[in-house]
Amino acid sequence: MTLTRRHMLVGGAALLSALPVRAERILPATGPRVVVVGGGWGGLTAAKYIRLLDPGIEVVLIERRTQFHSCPVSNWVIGHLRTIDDITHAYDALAKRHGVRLLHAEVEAVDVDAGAVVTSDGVVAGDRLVLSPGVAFDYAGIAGWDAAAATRFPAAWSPGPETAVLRAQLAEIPDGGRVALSIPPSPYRCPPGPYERISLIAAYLKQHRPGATITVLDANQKIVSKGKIFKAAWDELYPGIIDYRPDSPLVQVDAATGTLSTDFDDVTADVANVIPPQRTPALLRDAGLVPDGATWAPVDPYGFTSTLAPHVHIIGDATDQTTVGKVPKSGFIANSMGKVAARAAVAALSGREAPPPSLINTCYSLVSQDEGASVGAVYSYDPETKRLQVRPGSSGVSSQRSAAVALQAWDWARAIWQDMLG
Amino acid sequence: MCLPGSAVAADHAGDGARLAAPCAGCHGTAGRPPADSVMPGLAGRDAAELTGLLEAYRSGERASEEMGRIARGYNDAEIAALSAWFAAQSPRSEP
Ligand SMILES: Cc1cc2nc3c(=O)[nH]c(=O)nc-3n(C[C@H](O)[C@H](O)[C@H](O)COP(=O)(O)OP(=O)(O)OC[C@H]3O[C@@H](n4cnc5c(N)ncnc54)[C@H](O)[C@@H]3O)c2cc1C
Repeated sequence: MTLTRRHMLVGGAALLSALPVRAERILPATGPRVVVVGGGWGGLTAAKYIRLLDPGIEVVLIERRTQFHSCPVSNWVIGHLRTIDDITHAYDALAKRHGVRLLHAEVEAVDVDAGAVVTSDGVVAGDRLVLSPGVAFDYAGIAGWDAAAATRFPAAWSPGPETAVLRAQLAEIPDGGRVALSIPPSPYRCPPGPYERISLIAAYLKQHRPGATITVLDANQKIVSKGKIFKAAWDELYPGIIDYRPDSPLVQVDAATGTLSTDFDDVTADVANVIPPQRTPALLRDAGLVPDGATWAPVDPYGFTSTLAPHVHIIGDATDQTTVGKVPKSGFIANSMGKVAARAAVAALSGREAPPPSLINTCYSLVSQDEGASVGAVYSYDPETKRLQVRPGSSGVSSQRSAAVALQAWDWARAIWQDMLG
Repeated sequence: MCLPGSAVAADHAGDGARLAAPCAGCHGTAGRPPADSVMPGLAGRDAAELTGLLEAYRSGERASEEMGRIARGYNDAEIAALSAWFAAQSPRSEP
């Protein structure tokens, strides 16, 4: 049935005439096709694993960037422990080794009914869609946010060049200078990520900028993840450097003076990192995959299918955790989700029933330049609640920070990059 | 009394590939990590050895907070399925 849909679309005179050459060239001669949107943690995994599961299925992966930048371990770059080159990788192997068809283009719209996406290079239609567009930033609640603010206060919270910008800004801090950092209300991508960043900025200041401090405005009531570990590290390793203020949502910025304001306080800083509130990108909202008034895209985690369009898969940070179950918005989880969606898409294309999902999360964070901690769990599907459920006994946080975990953290990144890209 | 969920789970416990897929997040695709990784390779190892390791992590006899958590997430049938699947993988990837 979906095949017919695609053939109608490909054969439809109206759309075909609008197809630019490049999009037309990548249309398959025969066989079923999955179109994957987003070459990040979820999309890359889904694309590779569909090909591993069934090389007879054509996979077109659409990604705007021509190089892969890793958000995980990007705090290591900001803290001057690694360079941007260390976390930048080519997409080539996916095409060469696994036959994934890569299209570097902007996806402008998703046509859920047609099973097609409109890109800057033309229309690409498939029998199945897998969407992993990550998160969008929502600056609407921050007064004074303008182009100057966007330049002065980089988020460095999506893959790309802002990581290098924030790193360079930090290097310009004078001795005795001040950094400010604001954390959005949960849920946002990578629950421990802001606290890892604070730790590595504090470590950098301690080592290179005597007297410099970092002020943290956290919209949440307390540290969202690994709280005990971060608190102990901050007290013991960075006394007097980190000024942590919970329950302090950012309401206003002033780019001219470098000021971040809450309802009670103004913090003026040499460098300010605003990590903004997050939500599912407008691309999915406009496609009818996010209900009115909602922030995230609801899915049934059995095959990560949209509850609003059951033939469309949505994975990664864009998914609504209240429908998925208690998983974090992490790269590890996006990778696990990609494999579940791959299995579900392959099963659907061959008319079989998909097996139930099985997922793992392990999130590593550094708390200093050579010590880290982890948090993790194993998840399976609970048919009663239609949610993922933590397997009893499998959830936990490191009891203390350690050098061994810091070593694992880097090799985790190397392994999972290879699992997505290699 | 019988939960539909446990029946489904039991049916699929033998599906090692499905259970093993998320392990690749640390151990590399099919249990083949990158060169010089602190994460051990799993592909092609003896199934009984892998089962023994997972059981030791699960009981705490072998110390690792990361692997302890993960091993506690699987029952005996699933550990057997995981071990058998990794044992059947080639330690070298295809050219
Ligand atoms: C500082 C930081 C540290 C982190 N550390 C960790 C960690 O240690 N461990 C961990 O597990 N997770 C970590 N994360 C979280 C992890 O990065 C995310 O959970 C993961 O990237 C989610 O994957 P995704 O596929 O949903 O989105 P992404 O990886 O962001 O991928 C989305 C992709 O889609 C592309 N895209 C989006 N819209 C379009 C469009 N319209 N057209 C074309 N292309 C488009 C984007 O360019 C992007 O490449 C961290 C995140 C940050 C910010």
